[in-house]
Amino acid sequence: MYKKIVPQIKLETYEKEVFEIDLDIAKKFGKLVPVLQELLNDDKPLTIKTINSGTLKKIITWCTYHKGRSPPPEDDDNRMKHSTEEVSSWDDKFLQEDGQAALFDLISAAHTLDIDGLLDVACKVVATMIKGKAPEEIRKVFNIKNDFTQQEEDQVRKENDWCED
Amino acid sequence: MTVLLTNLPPELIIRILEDLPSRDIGLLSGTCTQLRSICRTDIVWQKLCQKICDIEVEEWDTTYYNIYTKVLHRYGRCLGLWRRNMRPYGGLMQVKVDNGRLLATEYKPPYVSDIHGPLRPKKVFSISINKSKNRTEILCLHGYGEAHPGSIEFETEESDVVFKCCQMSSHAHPKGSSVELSTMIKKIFLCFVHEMGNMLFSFSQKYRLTRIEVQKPDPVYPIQPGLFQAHYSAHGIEMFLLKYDMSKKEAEVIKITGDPNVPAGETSIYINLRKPMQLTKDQQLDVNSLLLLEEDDIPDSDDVQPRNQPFVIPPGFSTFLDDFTPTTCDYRYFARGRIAGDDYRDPDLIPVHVVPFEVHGVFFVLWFKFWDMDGFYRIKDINI
Repeated sequence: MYKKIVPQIKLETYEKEVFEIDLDIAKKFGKLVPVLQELLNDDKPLTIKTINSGTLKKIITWCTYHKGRSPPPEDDDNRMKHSTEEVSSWDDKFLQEDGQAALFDLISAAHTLDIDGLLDVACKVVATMIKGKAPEEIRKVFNIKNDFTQQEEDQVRKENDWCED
Repeated sequence: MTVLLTNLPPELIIRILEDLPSRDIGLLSGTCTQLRSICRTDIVWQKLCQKICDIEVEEWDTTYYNIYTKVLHRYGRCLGLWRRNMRPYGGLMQVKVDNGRLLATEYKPPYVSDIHGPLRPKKVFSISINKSKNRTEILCLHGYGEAHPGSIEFETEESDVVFKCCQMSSHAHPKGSSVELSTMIKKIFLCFVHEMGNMLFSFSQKYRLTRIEVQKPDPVYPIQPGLFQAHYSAHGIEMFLLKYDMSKKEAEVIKITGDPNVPAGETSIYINLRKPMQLTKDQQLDVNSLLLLEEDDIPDSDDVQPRNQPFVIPPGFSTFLDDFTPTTCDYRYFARGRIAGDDYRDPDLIPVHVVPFEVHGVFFVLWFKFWDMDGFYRIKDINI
């Protein structure tokens, strides 16, 4: 039987687990692409200690799902400005289903691997979680400890007078 | 691994802030010390400023945070072109960033003798940051003597923005009211009705403003949209906005300044782009037949293709034309022009023809009923 050989690259995670990733998926990895391409002819995996296996699996799933979808044009203007497109319901569910810690890991990893499209939607999802909430509600959602003194809190409130329209 | 939002490196939190409205960034800064310091990073505020306008931070001599929170957040919406909402005279105003402040300038038409003369700018108010008091400062630059306090209100019943002077005494002529009156009368003779605007400001102390949107150029238009000025017979030079509604295949020439017959804000001419005309020289000379020509006599057309044809000004027509006297034109449209009695009494629309010349930035309007032709010249003094 004839089997098509797909070029693959190898990534090793924090847990020392090695993943074989098809090159056409790794092509979403922005600036890393040239490094990864060199690795093609090498049997040694690239170790990225800041990414855990669960996160890398999510990334592979995300890249596979978005493989067919065309990325936004790569001119400088577009890299500076974020797309104003809404987050799709698939992305929204996919990014939130494993909880906040997984989402923040994904943002870090997307940043490390330079996957602009993923970083963009993931940041939008976090922004949506902040939007329209009072400080106390934001603290609750993100489990943030209020470390302000009463004096500082008054000071911040005064500073924010401008946005109380 | 990253368990909390606050564990993310600051540059990634800043990236998240880019997707947030400024108010939410303000509220987020009230959660904890770390987020407060990240939310105060000036690059966050630089981006918020840039969403509103281009800012040279050196000119303002302060942080982007200050520029945004003290000026642009509330007053950024003042930027742009405005029509004075003062019946019937109106007026043209532009607010732009000027050397560390937002500056509102009123532009009056050139003196009557020279339609190509410069517009006459007059500074009206400014919005800036008072460094010693570290707060927003709105100044009235009108009147005699030093700048003095003013105030701004948004979205009142009739207007988008209302600027009000808060120190009436600064508007009294230092040499007394009789000198003031005689100066004004002199000016009124020089420039006709537009000086009435100044006089009315002295009474009301208010500038009510309605936004003017200038459309983007598009090759489909026979002449590009924008600001124009024309001699309106006894009323002197008036200013207009040309805008298109391609869904209705219509262009409107809206009055930015007005007069006691047709006030500012009203449409002076409706150009029917479905009614392109092509007339021979002889047809153009026969004014009596042209007078009888109605909209329904001209076949409908859906294209906006040029129709090259001769162009003649019918003999006996009065005009205020400059050196540009074309003998051919690419477009001619049937249109309706607004006429009215004093105080906009019994307004009516009468047939007129509109002949645009994009290259020369002018369109002619032929009022057959009055044996009159006006040249509407593009205003070039104002950068939109």
